[in-house]
Amino acid sequence: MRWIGRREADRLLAGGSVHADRRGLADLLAALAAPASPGELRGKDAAVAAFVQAGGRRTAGGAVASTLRRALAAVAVSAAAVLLGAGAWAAEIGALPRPVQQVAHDLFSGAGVPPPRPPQSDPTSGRGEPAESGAARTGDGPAGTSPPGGPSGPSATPGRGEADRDEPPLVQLCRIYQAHQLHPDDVPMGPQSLRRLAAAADGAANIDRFCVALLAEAERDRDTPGPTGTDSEPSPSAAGYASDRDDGPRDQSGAETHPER
Amino acid sequence: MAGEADLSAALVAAQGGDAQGFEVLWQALQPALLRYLRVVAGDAAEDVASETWLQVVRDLGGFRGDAAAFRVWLFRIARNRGLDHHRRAGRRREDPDDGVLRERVGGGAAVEDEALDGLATEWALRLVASLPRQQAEAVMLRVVAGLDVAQSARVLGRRPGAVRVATMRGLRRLAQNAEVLARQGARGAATQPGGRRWSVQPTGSAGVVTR
Repeated sequence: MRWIGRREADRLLAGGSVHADRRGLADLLAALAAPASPGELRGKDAAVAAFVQAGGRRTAGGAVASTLRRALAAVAVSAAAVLLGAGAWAAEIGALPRPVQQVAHDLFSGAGVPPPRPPQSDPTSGRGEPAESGAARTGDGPAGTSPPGGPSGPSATPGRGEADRDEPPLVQLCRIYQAHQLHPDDVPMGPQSLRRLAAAADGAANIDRFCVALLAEAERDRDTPGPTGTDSEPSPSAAGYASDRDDGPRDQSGAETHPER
Repeated sequence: MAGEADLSAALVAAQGGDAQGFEVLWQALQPALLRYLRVVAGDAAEDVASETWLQVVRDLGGFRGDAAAFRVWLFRIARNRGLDHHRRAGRRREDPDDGVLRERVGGGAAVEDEALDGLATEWALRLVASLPRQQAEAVMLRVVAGLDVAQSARVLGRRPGAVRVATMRGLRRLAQNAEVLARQGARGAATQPGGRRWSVQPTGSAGVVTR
């Protein structure tokens, strides 16, 4: 077979016309650079959401701290949504918030968000504990049906109603949906959750848009209730999870001082 | 598709904090990034791509340069994250239970069918992934990422001459591949590969997951 020389290589790389005995290779190169499939664009909204969440880092002056804290709170809620734990829906999600936590860590490691637990650890024990400071809980931790709120057992916390437990608010479903887009393997979504989202979004095709809008709204809601400096004060939609976050020192002592684990 | 001028505008917008600008960048470059990473990081490509974009988000404020420079920067980050992944995977490969990480492009259940709808693309990626690493990377950067020799060299941290040679060797090896020759024999008619460069682009904005 003829040797490919430099000029022919350039022509092949440029997608130009080629000799008949190179058509197999030209086909291969064309297939390599074929138009993107929809699957390759999966996760766009999650990526954009990450961009928006990090946007505060580029604003000037004092705004940075509070924006960062809000973003951290949002991430904490994402994780807490998974932490909700009990009931069939948790089983359906079966999720480790490892990716969520990884996102938080990647974006805000400067602010003391720890990395996710190593994958070797029992996945059920790692649920949604981004702010947990000490007391490493291991595999015999709260899995399955017990509410994994923490050692002090805040299962009786007001605000976390039965309805919440059995049927997660759409906001949380959306957060998980977005994490699922980013890390489909780590954050599985069951058909039941997807159907619920699709119903709410008026069609599966609208879930992306629906969730972006819903989460933006939730973000605004979070901003309004408390005066500044009380970012740990939950909005109504996040009420069930504030207690979970209270387990960690982050909200009280400030994100900056939380030690890396 | 987003031309170079569009990308430059999107880049400036994204650096100003505009999410739409970022979206344009992502949409224009993610498909090529993902394919490059399929070759570099195998089944972890999507995860590594996510990590790559997170780093972009974090460091975009400090980036200086035009769209071409951004492309180089993006693929450089991706490569480094891919190498990180390799190191992690290499360590975990010691673990006999860990079979998944051994899978490369085209193998294993972790390659989801919807990740790449095009079977031909899947086939092509599998063959490129079977090349020696330097050749595979050079081919992907030249063909899929749309980088020239000098830009590819900057991504790879090698001399342009070395990249040129690696690309050529990769092409030669691919040309001799039995599957490529078989495909060639299977089709008699002329092919029209023209215009494929830079063509890795979204087929439509409605295409994002609907499952």
